Amino acid sequence: MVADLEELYRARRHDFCRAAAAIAGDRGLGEDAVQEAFAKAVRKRRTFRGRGSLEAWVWRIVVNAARDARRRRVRQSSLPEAAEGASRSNGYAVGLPLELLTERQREVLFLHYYADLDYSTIAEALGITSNTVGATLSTARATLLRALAKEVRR
Amino acid sequence: MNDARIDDLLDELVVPFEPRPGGWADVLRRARRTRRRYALLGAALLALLLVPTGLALRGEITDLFQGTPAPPAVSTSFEANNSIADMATKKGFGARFPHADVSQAHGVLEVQTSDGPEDLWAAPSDQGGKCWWVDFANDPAGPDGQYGFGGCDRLESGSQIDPAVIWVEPHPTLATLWGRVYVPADSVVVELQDGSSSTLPVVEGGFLASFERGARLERVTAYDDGHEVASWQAPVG
Repeated sequence: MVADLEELYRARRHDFCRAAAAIAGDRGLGEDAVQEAFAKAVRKRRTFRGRGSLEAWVWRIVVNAARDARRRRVRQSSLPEAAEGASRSNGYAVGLPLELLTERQREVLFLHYYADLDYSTIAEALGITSNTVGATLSTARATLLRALAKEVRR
Repeated sequence: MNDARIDDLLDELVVPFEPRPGGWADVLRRARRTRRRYALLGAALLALLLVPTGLALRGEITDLFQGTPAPPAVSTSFEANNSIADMATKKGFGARFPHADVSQAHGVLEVQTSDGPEDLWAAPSDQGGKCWWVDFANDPAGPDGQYGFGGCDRLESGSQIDPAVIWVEPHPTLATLWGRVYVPADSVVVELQDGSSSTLPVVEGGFLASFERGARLERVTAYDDGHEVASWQAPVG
């Protein structure tokens, strides 16, 4: 099992790090989240019951770690979580109006784009259905397109 | 404006980068480091368990947590709830809402979940009974305290058992059962709609359990010294 985790890590570390960096809103935090998540996966490997894929299970741990890192970062910068969605100072670079998306929409978008995960793996990783992944992704992209189009018109 | 533009911006947001070297060795080091911490904690627990108290393992662990003074983040959460109570009074939602005596906030129960320990904290309420706070120990604390949920006893409600199944965003796969028993009781039997059941300890009138999200409560029966003392049935529909 540890060998499987190592193989997954070596094969997909770049994708894990990029997606985690996007979720955490910071490259260093994302990298650290991946390291911590794999360490947790090594420790908790006996709790993996094989009901889904090992990769999806690890992605779930990585997403949780990156999400926690982002929340810590937001809180440390004294920005209340509730203010998200109304502020552009949400830890993301201005350019792509990610603040218009919900946390789940952002995560689906990042996992799909940066890690090129299929819907079923994203679904397993986030604990939602594949249909929800598809709908969430469409909504997220439509929201961003609308917002970007408005900016262009301005 | 099209999807390609979004892809470009996503590429700009996090450009591909080379992670730091020494990756897998660092993972194993981190895994061992935490194991070592658990081993030390385990040794400490074992030493305590060797003291013949005549209590079951579950009780020992409960007792270790029960009475733990609330850490600053949890106290801040209680204080934040007191402020919300003041605000609600000002807005005219009621004459006065209960306030927790934050100086006496302490641990009541800790359960293990797949997301780490989940804790139930309590503090005396100035209107009788207690105020409560539930959180996950590993969640980061913010300026408004620990992420979680809670409330104060509603002694006037007349019900003898007050259970609630709550889901919090940071833990999307879990559902927390938090409840209070307003008559003397030492345990509750919790029955879910899927037919499963669990026996939980009641400590200071509170009980706590973690289920997979989607679990639906069917019935809670409280016992004291083996005798049924109260029950609660989920409303039909």
